[in-house]
Amino acid sequence: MIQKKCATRLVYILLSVVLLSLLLTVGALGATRTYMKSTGNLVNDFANMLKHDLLIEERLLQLEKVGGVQFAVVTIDNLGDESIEGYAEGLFQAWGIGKKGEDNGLLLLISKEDRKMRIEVGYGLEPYIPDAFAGHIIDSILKVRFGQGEFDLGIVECIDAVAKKLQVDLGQAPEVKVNKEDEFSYIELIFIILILIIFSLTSRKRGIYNRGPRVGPRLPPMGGGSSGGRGGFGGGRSGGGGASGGW
Amino acid sequence: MRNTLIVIAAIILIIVVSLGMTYNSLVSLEESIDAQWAQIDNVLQRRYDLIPNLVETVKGYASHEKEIFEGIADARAKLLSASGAEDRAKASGELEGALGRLLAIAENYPTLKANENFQSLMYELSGTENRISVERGRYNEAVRAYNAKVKRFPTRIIASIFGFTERTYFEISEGARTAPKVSF
Repeated sequence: MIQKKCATRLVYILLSVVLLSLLLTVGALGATRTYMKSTGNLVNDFANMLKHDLLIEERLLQLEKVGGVQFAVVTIDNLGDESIEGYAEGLFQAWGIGKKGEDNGLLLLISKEDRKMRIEVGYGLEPYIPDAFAGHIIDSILKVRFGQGEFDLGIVECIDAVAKKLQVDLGQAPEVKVNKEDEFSYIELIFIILILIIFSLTSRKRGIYNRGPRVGPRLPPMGGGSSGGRGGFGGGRSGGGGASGGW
Repeated sequence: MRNTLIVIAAIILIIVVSLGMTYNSLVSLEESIDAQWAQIDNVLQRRYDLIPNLVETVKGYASHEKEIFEGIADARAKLLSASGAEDRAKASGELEGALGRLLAIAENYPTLKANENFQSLMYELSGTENRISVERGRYNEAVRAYNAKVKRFPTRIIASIFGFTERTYFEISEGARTAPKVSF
């Protein structure tokens, strides 16, 4: 009786030793660099460069809803000693922008102190947003607008150019030019938000989002969203496609 | 007597299970290396396909730079006939060097640099170069994870029994590290 107890105890000890050694080998994988956590929104203005981040967020949500593209806009203070390409690719995988398997994510990364920007394209969008097109956006929109200090306007124009390329209709662009008047008009902002809310309410009633006049490439719709709001990013991947530039 | 049998049976079971698990993990690590290798092949092919267009465009402005065009054609042919990680890495390094020289002479032709087609090609090329470096990094990471397992102690024995050998990294050649940097 006592012998049997001993034997089973021995088996337990041996089993736990084996399990422990297995765990140790799994845990010995190399550590990768860490990135800041996403706020859960599509716009992550870590460098405080944007005045109309709410409007931009609204537009990006619209693009996600209608076009099925998860477009994240991120501003950072500086890159440290990383290249903008390396940073963008790392951040893209760390957050998992886009949906897993579909890889329908886009990232616009702006580094304030380095005066550099990059558009990183998810694997699934590479056929729709070729590098030359991303480069064209950087040259003809972002470089110009950022050079004028019009960050919000540049980003909105960039989003609209992407939407146009994907043949997604986002409707009238919001007015975000900031240099025109120095004083920031809250009334205007509230007015626009009101219009957007009314628009989204009425169109949902009519079911435009489901049967809307969407032409062009059939991009897979975004999954998730079961809880109504966005639940962050979905595990999409990229492989270094896109373009970079500076201003 | 019965108890000793139980203990022996348990030990054998443990050995067989851990052997199987190690074998499986080695197989899946090896598979991830091969999958990543396919990704590298994809992006190398992408660069390979871009070259004729690029050469044609540059030729329109600088047809007399024959040496450079020949160098690219040679390197491209070499890449096509190269097989295996080492050869491919070497040939693609040579091609990178030749492309770098092509881009360097493009600097001397302002009208070429202003050509819209050339600008698009430059973006495609720099995007492709970036893709290559990303996929190469991931490939090397997969090789590193696998090699670490093959070389480390307990798995080392199992690896040698089943014939798992170390894999080579996709190294960057000296010339490739500096070129081709696209900017205009």
